[in-house]
Parts: sequence; C-alpha cells; structure tokens
Amino acid sequence: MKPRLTRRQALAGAGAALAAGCQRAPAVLRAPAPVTIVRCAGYTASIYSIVREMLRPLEARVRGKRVVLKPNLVEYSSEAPVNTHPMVVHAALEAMRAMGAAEVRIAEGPGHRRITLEMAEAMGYPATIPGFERLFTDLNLDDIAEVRLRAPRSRLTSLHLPRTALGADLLVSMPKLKTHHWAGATLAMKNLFGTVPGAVYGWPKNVLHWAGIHECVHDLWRVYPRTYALVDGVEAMEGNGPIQGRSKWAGVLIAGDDLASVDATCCRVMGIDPARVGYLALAAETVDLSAARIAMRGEAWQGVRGNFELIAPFAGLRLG
Amino acid sequence: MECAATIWVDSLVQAQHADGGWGYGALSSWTEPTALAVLALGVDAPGARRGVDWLRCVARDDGGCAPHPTVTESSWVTALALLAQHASGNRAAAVRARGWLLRQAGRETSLVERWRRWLHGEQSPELALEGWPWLPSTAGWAVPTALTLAALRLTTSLDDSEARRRVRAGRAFLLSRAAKTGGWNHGSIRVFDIEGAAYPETTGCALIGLRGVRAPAVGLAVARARVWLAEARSAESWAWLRLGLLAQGIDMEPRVPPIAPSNPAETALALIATRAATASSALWSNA
Repeated sequence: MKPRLTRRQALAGAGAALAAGCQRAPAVLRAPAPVTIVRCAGYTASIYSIVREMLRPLEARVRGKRVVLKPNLVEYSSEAPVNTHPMVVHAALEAMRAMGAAEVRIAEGPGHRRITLEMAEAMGYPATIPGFERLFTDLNLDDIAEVRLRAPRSRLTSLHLPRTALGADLLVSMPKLKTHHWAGATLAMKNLFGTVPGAVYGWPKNVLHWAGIHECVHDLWRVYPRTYALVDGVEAMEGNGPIQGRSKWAGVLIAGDDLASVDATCCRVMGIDPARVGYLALAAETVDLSAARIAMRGEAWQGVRGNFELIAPFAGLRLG
Repeated sequence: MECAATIWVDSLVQAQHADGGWGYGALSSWTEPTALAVLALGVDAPGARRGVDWLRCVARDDGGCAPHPTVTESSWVTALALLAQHASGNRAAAVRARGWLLRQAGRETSLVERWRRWLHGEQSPELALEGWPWLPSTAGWAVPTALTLAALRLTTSLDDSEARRRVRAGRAFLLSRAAKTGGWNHGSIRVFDIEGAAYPETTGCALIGLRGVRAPAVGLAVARARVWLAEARSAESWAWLRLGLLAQGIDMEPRVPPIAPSNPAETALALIATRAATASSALWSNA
C-alpha cells in the first residue's frame, strides 16, 4: 500500500526535488583546459627558462595587465618542502615582466601565522626575489570587499576577500604539490584559501572548516574568474601534509588555464583518483575532469606518476 | 628607547585616517590597529579620542565589534576594543563588549558538538574547555582566548562569578593546548598524532593571557620565549614576546625591536611593549 502524502508533504517533496535539481542537474559539462607538465631537475637556474616557456601561451593575456602571483606559504620548516619554492615564484615574476605585464605582485595570506614577512624571509623569498617587500601584499591584512558566492555549495553565502586578489587581471595560483590530511590533496584550488583574510576570519581561517572544506574550496574557485595555475611539483610532499609530511621528489612543474583541470592532473601524478577528492568531485559537476578529456602538453601524467604515500584515512583515494 | 618611542608616536599620529581610525596600510580603517593605536598613544593623546569614537562606529547591536566597517559580524577584535573603551572610561561600551565576549565560546564546546562527538565515540577532554573563537560559531583558538582573558582580567570585578568561571576555563583551555616542548601555536597542537611547532607571537600572546598563572607549561613557554626574544626577526614577534615575558614578571633585553615596525598595527604594538612594565601596561595592571 502506498503511503498517502499530505499536501504539505507533497509540496515539501516537490520543493526539495526542485532545489536538488537546480543544484545538481547535470548541465552540459564544460570542456577542460589543456594542462602542461614539464620535467624540472631541481631548483637551479634552468627553472627560469622552463617557466618562461611554460607561460609563453599567456603572453596576449598578460601584456599591459595586472598579474598577482599567489604562492603557498604555510609555515617555515627547514626539513620539509612545505612552501612554494621562491625560485619558482621569481621565475614566474620574471616571465610575466618579460611578457609585458603592467604590474606583477606577489600576494599571500598564510593560514596559521600572521607575521607573513618573517616567514617569507625564513623561506628565502627576499634573498631570492629582489625588492620582495615592495612587491609583496599580505592578503591577511589587505583592504577587502564583500563578494556574494554564486550558488555556493558550502554553508557560506558571502566572503570578504582582498581587493588585490579580486582586482587582478590574472591571479596565478602557485601551490606546492602536496597531500593534505583533511582534503586529500592541496593544490591550485585549495591554495585560494590563502586569499581569505585572517584579519576578518582569524588564524586559522576556521570558518572555512566549519562551512565544509571541500565545499569552500569549490566556492572560492568560482569566485575568481581570471585565474591560472602553476604548481611547484619539483620537490613535493607526501604523507601527513600539508606541513608534517615527507619530502617526495616528483621533478615536475604543472600548469594550465583551468585550476580544476590542473588539480585533477596533479592528483593523477600523485597516484590519487581526482574523482574521490571532494572538491574535485564538486568541480566535476561543471567541468569534465576525466583523464581522456584533458589534453596534455609536454609530458603525459602517466609518465611522471609516482604514488605518493597516503595517510590511512585517505588510502581509498588511490588511483587504480 | 625613548627616541624610538617618539618616532613611533609621530608615525602613528601621521598614519591616522581622516575618519579617526587606523589601518594595516594606507587604505581603510580596521578595528585591531585602531584599538591598538588608542592603547599605545593613551586616551589623552591627540587623535586618540577620535580613535575611540571610530571604535563606536564598529560596535554592533549585540555588543561586540566588527573587524572592519564593511563586516556585519562581531569578532575577536571585541577584546581589543574592550581594552580601548575601558582605558577611555567609556563604561557603557565596555560593559556591552564584555557581555558579548562572555556569551562567546568555541563551537566545539556546544551541546550539539559534544553530543556529536559522543555518538562518534570521540573522547577528548580538552575539547570540553571553553576558549574563545575568532568568529562566533567556530572553534576556540589560542590568540582570541589570550586576548579575551587579558581584557576580562582588566575589566572584571571580583564579584562577577560567571566572568571568573570563564577566566578559569580560558586558562585551562590555553594550558591544554601548550606544546610539550613549550609555547603555543595557533591552538591545535597535535594533528594525526604528530606535534606541531609553537610560534613566538602566539606564545607571547598566550603568556599575557596566563599572567599570574603558575604551571609547568608556563615555565616551559617562558624559557622558549626568552630564547626567541633574543632572536626575534620582526617588530611584531618581538613585541608579543616582550609583552608576554613582562606579563610573567620578566624584563629582559632586547628592549627595542630588531627592525622597525612595518605598519600602524605593528607600530602600536611595539609602542605598547616599549612602555609596558611588569606591574602595569595597556593590557594588564596590578591595581
């Protein structure tokens, strides 16, 4: 016997179905952007020409424009590759300048420590990048504007975000290739957490954790319309990342126009199935991240794959 | 030292915005640097009264203060605003701010969260201790807890039993999150059974919150802070470490920061640290 529905139950059910349909209806998936993988033997002078060549397709997009390079600075460690290597950032800076960018800034808002310049100094940024302090914007303390989130998947409806990042003609996410003890992997999309200002949300930016880490990564990815990803995967991190993991030599730089396509490829390089990483599963509702659809330039991901060690809760992420 | 202080006072006066507040940079005014500047300059200094007036603009109906005029939620900066309002004798604003702080606690201590952990069989006694969050409905962390403890100590009468209970709980919260090797990081010492590193600035701040507390964790932190102070690489870490050690009764070299402050918030903090003594400062008093 079928249960009888009251009018209220029927209306509620219809509303829920409509809401679910609006949120999850499989719209026509956007095609992924090509991803470039280049082998890189180490943090040596050759990295400048490698990065210059990788970024060359951006020339028309950066000429006369304002570019913001967003590395991943988390905590200083003399033992583990926690942060984006300063030489990769300097190489990108030089490449953008050579392509005629009107202004290139380096900007970051670390999630744990608030004295960003002190950390950057310990990591060798001022020693590697001439005039670093003049070029640098601390996104934790930058001026802010409120941004309404478009169809958010997290519990947040808006975020206050730094004007330096919002106003960039091109925001280049430059993460370290790392595993992550809560998200599975931390890459170009997750690196955008560093654009959430600590002066509003604190250190750490705990509101993002309560609102759903994967959902917030997805929502932030949709905030910034003009982005590019350049991932430092030369010396990477495996195991209990993003801070306490172990060094893993991957010997690659990975780049592309679409942060989700780059991140999906990075996951495959790490031996992680991107479909099992929450925020990439959310991104895959709008962009086709299947390996067959992402055009590879340079190396194929299969040729540089190295199974990164995964902590026990993430053993199920392993790519078959 | 006095020469440096004079320069910092001039610098702060110059950096005040037309609206009466101070910012981290040259653009809009924020609550944290404004409250610190008022505390650093003293309420009778030129411009300080306008700073206090600016703080009233970010006071919200719930009694707390927003970190920036465009933010519509009260936050951790309420503790600093409370200290500034208290210093300026603005009793009504101070009472409202104090009331808001006493209504806040880390979300992990809420009934729903405790019930959820019980269902999952998660036993973690330190998660039952009430600290203070950066924003409402988030977890408690070291810095907002330490700043709130400082504000409550300075503004709470001995007959306020609820405030005294929260101060005791806040101290227990900080002690439970101290690193085994001494000091504090942001307030999450262990991740997947691996101990995280302590930071100089949060250690200094926590030592202010734990003024008057005798515990092994405080002794270990003081030992680390002494070493870090000698090696400080920024005005901000120097200022927090110096303040933390002074709060624990230790006045030691260096008495000036290793490099000049880089923004008004740092300048104000350096000035507060320079003018502080073991008996009194803008953040504590023996009176």
